[in-house]
Amino acid sequence: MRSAAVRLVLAALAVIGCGEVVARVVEQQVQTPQLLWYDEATQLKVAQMENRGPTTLVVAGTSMAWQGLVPSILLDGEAYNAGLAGGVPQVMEPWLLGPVRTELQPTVVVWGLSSLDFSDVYGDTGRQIYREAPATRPGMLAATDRLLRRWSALIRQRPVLRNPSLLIGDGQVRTAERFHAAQRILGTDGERQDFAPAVTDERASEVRARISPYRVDRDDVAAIVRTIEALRVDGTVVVLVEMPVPPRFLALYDDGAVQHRVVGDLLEAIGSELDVPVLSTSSVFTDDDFVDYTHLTASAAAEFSIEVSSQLQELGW
Amino acid sequence: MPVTLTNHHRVVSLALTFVALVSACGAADSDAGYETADRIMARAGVESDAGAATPTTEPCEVEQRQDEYGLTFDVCVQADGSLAAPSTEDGSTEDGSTEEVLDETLREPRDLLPLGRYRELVDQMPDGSARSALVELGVALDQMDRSCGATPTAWRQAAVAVSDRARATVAVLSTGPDEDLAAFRQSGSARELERVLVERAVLQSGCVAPASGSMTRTELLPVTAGLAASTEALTQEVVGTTTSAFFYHPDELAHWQWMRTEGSVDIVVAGTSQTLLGVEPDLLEISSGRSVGNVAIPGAVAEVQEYWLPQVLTAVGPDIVVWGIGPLDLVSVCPLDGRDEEFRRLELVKQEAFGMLPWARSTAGVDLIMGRPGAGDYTDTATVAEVDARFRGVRGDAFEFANPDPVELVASVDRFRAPFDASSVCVERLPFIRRVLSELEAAGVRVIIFGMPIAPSLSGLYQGGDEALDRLVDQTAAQVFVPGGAEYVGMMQSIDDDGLWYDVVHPTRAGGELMTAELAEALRAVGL
Repeated sequence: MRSAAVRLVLAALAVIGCGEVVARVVEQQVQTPQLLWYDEATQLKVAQMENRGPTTLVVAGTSMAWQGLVPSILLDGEAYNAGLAGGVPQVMEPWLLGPVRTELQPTVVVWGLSSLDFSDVYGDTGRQIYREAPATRPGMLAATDRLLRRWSALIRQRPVLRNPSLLIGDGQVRTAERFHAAQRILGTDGERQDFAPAVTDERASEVRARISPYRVDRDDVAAIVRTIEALRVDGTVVVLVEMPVPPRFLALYDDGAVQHRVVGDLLEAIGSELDVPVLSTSSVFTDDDFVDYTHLTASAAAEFSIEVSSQLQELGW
Repeated sequence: MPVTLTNHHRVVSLALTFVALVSACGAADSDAGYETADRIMARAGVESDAGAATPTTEPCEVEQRQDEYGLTFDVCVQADGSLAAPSTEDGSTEDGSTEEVLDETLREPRDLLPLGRYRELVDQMPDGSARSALVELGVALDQMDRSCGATPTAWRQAAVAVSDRARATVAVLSTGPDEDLAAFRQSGSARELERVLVERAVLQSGCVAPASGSMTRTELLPVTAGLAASTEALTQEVVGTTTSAFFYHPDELAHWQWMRTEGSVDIVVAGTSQTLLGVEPDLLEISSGRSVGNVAIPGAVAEVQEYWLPQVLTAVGPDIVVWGIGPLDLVSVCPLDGRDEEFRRLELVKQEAFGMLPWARSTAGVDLIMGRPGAGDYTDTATVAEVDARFRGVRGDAFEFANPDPVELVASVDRFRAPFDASSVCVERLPFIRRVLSELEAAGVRVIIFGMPIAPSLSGLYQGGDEALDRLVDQTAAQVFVPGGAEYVGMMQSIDDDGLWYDVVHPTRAGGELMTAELAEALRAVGL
């Protein structure tokens, strides 16, 4: 009986051993990295942050802040843009308090916020993707999986073994293309550089769906509160910035531009409640200053960043 | 590719750090942040998606009161005597229902609130230095009201006085309101006061003409902007926020006046000041048997038309646009001097400004500035002749130069000759023309472009003379206008007598009548 059990274990180990050998051979063939993080750009940013080390000023927020706040203008050489696509507060909270804080140890976080950050109908998908990504999935199983990845190619290459098209064929090509696309728009300081015009009806519908009907998501406000308070414990100062939007964005609200007023009201209330500075632009940005409904053009981003930089200097940064 | 599998160990260690962090935070307090979030949302006056905004008011006695419009509403009289919105049964606030009802009333198409209402509202304020300051401001407002339609100088002085008084009042209010004043700010009276201030001090509803009629835009804006800033600060102190709005050109205001009264029109004539002065809509109306309006704006080259004409289409829905384009549009070194940016900037200012006024949420900006459409009470009491002429019963035939002045004509040659020295086509403007044509075609509007003439004294300066200039316009028509979907009628020689020109680009009234007659003939030839 005992010898049978031993044989069974040995057989299992042999199978695992063979699997491990196969996986290591497979691993050598794999040219495209697996997506372990929230999205390809996030994974590339993690690599940038690892190489970068402590950084004085870090920008946070959705792609609006990611594109609109240029690190080299805000604090040349000492700033990094950690904004993420769809990086609403519930995504920013774990991102800022996790890898960003660990790697960059910022002194000041400049958090660009807009109505998208507070919208009840936007951000759930991003939060879910962040929570389900292999590198950030919570729970014991996920932690064990990450631990085993250190030693086992079988675990690391599990997705490829399950779906060989990730190794060869369309799957591999698509993955590679996504990483290339992310790499193309990523600046050396983490900023987004996607300035291709995209003013289409389809895009308008997409953005409208993110703010219609417009209600404030209490969870996002709470996430901002928790994040600011947690960063404060480390001595990190948070500065909130109201991101500009074009008239064509304001026109997408159900009740018109007046609904956008909630952003300023909320930021002012957060600033007062948590005693953090709130910056907003005095410049008038027109439709032509945006490549689409939310993202600034290169020149407008530079103009906006200069103004924010100036206000930061007035605050002593 | 910066991230490869060799980074996995680092990635994993970071992720584990994060997991530990999140777990620790979650175990400590799963509700962290929500109490503060509710306070923030209540402070910002927004509803929670979960309806869980924390009540900000203490238990209180609910009283029913009547506001200035005769509307009844409940108020919560707290232990200290201050007023607040009443709480609902589930503990959440009614979120300013009184204000919502009031807003509904205020946003209706309306006549101006009489200035006397301002004094009544101020009288309702608690005694104190703030009320005294607002009484003094009321005197200045009264003076500005009386100066409406007098002379631009009188209006300007009155506006400056209002601005000064507004600043002084802001200073008083910002020293820290007492409890009585704080309660007043919660009332409907305070909101109504805000509206009177905005209407009377900033928008100057019904009194825009005297100011803009004889003052250039650059003269007008500093005065009005300063006034707007003072009043904005004041209304922020009183109750909320506001700002101001401006038009690209006084003539745009005049066009809005007739367009809002007219409602719809068959034909609009567009262009710059040349068209404004050169085309008499009354004459075209007689000859065509259709309703005609002139929506030309000085300086409104194609860059501006791209934004202006869509507004005209929305306002009066013409079937036909007759657009005057001539050598001044096509020949020059063609500096794009930011006119379109200015036009769009002012549209944005209007949009944002009125978006900030709770009582103006669903009222068009022009309605706010000019009052109820078609009310017939937009009376112009101007005593300045040119102001009166410009704004009385016009359909764009805004003003006239009855008597040619040879001195002016000669002097104007130098003013306008520079573009003709270059004698090159303004290629930068052509894409704008194409875009306008494309927009009009998409809207199903028939477009007829006519070649806007200039005085012989000027056209003769072009290399090759009149004939070369005609060829240039004709070629542009063939290469740009017609392919863009427009019809073209050449009228370059329609006023070939210097005596019919006030200056070398603007016809006299007689010149305009002659040109209009020729335009009418040309339009008949194309079936109109």
